[in-house]
Amino acid sequence: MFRVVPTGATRLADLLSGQADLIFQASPDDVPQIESHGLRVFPSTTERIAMVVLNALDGATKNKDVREAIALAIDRQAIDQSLYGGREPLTNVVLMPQHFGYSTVPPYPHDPAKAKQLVASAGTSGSLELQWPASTSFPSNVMQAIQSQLQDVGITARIQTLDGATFLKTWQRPDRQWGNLAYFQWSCACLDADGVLNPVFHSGSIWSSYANPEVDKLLDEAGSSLNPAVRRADYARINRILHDDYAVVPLWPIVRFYGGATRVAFTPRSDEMFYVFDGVKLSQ
Amino acid sequence: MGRFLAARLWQLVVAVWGVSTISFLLLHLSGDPAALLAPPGSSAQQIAELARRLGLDRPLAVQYAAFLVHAVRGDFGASFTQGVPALSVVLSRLPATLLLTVAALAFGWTIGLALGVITAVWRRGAMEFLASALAVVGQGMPVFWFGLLLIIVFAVRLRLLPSSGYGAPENLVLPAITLGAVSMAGVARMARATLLEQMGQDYVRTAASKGLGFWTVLARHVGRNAAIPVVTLMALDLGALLGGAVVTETIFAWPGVGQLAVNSIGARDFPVVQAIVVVVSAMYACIIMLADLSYAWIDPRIRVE
Repeated sequence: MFRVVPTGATRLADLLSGQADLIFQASPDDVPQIESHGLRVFPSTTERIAMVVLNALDGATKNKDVREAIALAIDRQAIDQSLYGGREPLTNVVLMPQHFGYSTVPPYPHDPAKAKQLVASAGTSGSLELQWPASTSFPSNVMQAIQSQLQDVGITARIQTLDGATFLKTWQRPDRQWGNLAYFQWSCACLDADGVLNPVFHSGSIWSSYANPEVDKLLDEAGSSLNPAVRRADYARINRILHDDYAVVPLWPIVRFYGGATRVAFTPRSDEMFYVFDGVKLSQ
Repeated sequence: MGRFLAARLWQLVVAVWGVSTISFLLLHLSGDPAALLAPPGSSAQQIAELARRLGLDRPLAVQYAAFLVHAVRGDFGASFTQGVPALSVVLSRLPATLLLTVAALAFGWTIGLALGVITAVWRRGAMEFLASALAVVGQGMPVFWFGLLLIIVFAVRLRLLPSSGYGAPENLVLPAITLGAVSMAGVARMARATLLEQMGQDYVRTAASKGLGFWTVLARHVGRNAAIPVVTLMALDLGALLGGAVVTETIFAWPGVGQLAVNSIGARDFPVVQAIVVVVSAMYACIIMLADLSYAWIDPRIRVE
């Protein structure tokens, strides 16, 4: 029997009290408690990528130097270490190796000194104020950590917390004046680069705050071609352009935790789909 | 009496109209939900088409007029997310909320009245201290915290009751206690205050001097005189619990109107939110009206005119 239990603490209690055999979306903080009760934890690295999207179409982040400064100011490793115990596998593109069209690029170095220089040379007299609309659906501790790192290089990012629906509405403003940067987690549950790169970086898409005719052309070609080699080459080129243009700061894929009773064997899927007869086994 | 009822019914209609108008305006100020309802990757054109299909592209005044014309016939339109009439979605959730509310009030009122009597009768004793402490804890502790504590103690540690769910009688116990705790505290404090006030009145001394026993005086004379403020509080409680079970329903995964309201607001499902507002506010107004009518029955000196 399936039951929707919106509160995480109640889902955990359902598992610990033996009322549930399997719970979804256990918090990372719940893991030690589940294990201490002799129950099972099933971690799953998903294809949902956390990223900081930079608005290349409006405001101060139209300036590539400002985008570069943001990319160099963010120390992903330190955030991962302090908040997740170094568990999240960092990614340098907004795709996972499981995606068709995955290719990697070098990581942005953490270089606060150069970031400060870039902020100063961006004609901002050494300090810059940016607007950051944030959804309550996303982890506030990650956003605050990034905000603090940006502050260290002279960038004051004003986080404005909005409910999920209002955040989406803000981000989709047709004039693209939604702010300068936003934390976002994207999954197409399709394991194909088209499902990520096309909506998030094709000009004209309601999700995109980036416009580059070359990227558009490559996305259109890759999206309509049946030749895997052509598609792979196109997506590799797009990943490179996005990297060099500081269009986005990829962070890490989201790790989901499922909790299970001792009699449950479960293999979670990276696309977060759940097939009862495929993934779950019960022993007596 | 007839004129009183007619006036009260008219006030009820005005109140429900006012509440639904305010909620209509607030909902539409929060933006148009088409972008949220459209699948990821939809183009601006597809979103505009969806908005047109849902009637959200019309001027606000036109949408409001259409809403009023349909609402008076009980038609709030189809749910944006479920595609079925919004009123039927709300009514299908109403029994669960009513069950929880009635159980919470039964708990809150019974224990609250008992605590009120105990603290009024046995003043400055250990019983009063204990009962007052219970009332303060009930009123002061946030519902979500109290609910989770109950779950940890009775479901996880003792394994006496289920931590969440709906359908079996035992599922009702923890949510009803959680929701009823605030009501219990309010009723206890009000009952104590009014009982103490009434017990100092001349008619109590007169009744006692006639030879009536303490409990007879309390039950027959003091209780009835102290009833009006308590009934007022109960009516307000009943209405507040009907609309205010949101947190409790969410914690215990109780499939009631409160949880539906949270989900519908998050999804900007305007028709369902409007139907919830109208149904709950109409019920609230009816309960207040019934409480007013009951005053004449409790105290014959009051005439309903």
